[in-house]
Amino acid sequence: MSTPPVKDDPLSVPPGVVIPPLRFSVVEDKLYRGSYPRPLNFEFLESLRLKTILSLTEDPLNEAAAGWCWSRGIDMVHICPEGGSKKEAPLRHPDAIKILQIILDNTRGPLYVHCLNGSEVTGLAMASLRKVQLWATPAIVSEMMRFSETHSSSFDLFLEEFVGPVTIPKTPTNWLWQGIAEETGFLPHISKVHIQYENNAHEHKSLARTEATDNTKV
Amino acid sequence: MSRFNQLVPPLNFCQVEEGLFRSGQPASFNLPFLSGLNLKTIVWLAVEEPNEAVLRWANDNNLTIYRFGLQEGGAPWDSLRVNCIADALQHIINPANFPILVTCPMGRYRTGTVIGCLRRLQGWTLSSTLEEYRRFIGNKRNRLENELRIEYFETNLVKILEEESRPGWLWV
Repeated sequence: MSTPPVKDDPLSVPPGVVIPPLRFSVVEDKLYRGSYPRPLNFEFLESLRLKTILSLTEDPLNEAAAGWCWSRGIDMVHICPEGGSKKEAPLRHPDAIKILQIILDNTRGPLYVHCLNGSEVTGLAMASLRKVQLWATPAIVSEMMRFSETHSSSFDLFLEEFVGPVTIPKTPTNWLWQGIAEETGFLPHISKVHIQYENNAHEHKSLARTEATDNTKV
Repeated sequence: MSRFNQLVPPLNFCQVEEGLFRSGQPASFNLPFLSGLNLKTIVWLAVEEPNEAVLRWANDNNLTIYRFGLQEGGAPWDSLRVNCIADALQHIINPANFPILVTCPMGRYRTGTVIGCLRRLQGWTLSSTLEEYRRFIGNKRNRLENELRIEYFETNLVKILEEESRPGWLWV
């Protein structure tokens, strides 16, 4: 057998080996994060059976990635984070709210969220998600720092000042407040983030809960 | 009813795959958060026993705790031996145990080694596996032996179940 000719790409991947994108991680069921998807990562990403890729970059996905998404029937959503000065966090609250809208919608998953390096912008988006999930601040920061070599005070400020409003879609992901409201008395309305419901039925339910807890206080 | 209005995940908590989580040793104030995961099994890699509050909570919620941290003649800071890793992985890739939490004192070295070996089993390339492993070490001193364990882990030590009874994320 003759050896196959060396292709243009000097990095050839042995069979059976997959290469996840840099800083790849599972965030929740059917929600993944990482860096910009490169052709080396396509085989791995295919194993996730993605439905949507959310790009938090200046430009929409490049030709290679867009072509791959198109051929696999993956929806591409592009949100360009409106950047401030260098002293500000690279993501602003209105964009974070838009991002959460997509992340929390069960019909979008399995979803891959990425920015350029999978660290700052993605990290801030995930931090705002964790705040909606009622995570304690040290735990949120600890997760954020796991993906980032730098942590500036502007990130803390972003998290502190993030108060929504976040609209829970009609079909929210099942992990959002998984089992906590009923079992431990944690109720989403005590969240520091303002929560709205797209579905009226949910709204009434949450109002009923508010009244119930008000009664117990007396 | 709890007066807390925040959930506190254990140190170094992270979801690894669907139905599989990793973290440092849970404390009593982590239990409300862990309850939300509806865990069925805990893989305990620490030498010391779980504390009283965790044991009581596990008992009340019918959790099974598997312990793999005890190594005869070994010190708590020794890295896990290969047979320990393989035994732990055998439980970790069994969907009958899901949702499952893998935990050690800080969620860094022992948990990281086991999850690293799982990634090798999944066919992840070594550099991606070590990138994930180091993410949880933070700025702590790295332990070369753990990385060697991951690099030279013989994946055929783990018995793979029939396709219908293995987790969907193992190989796709």
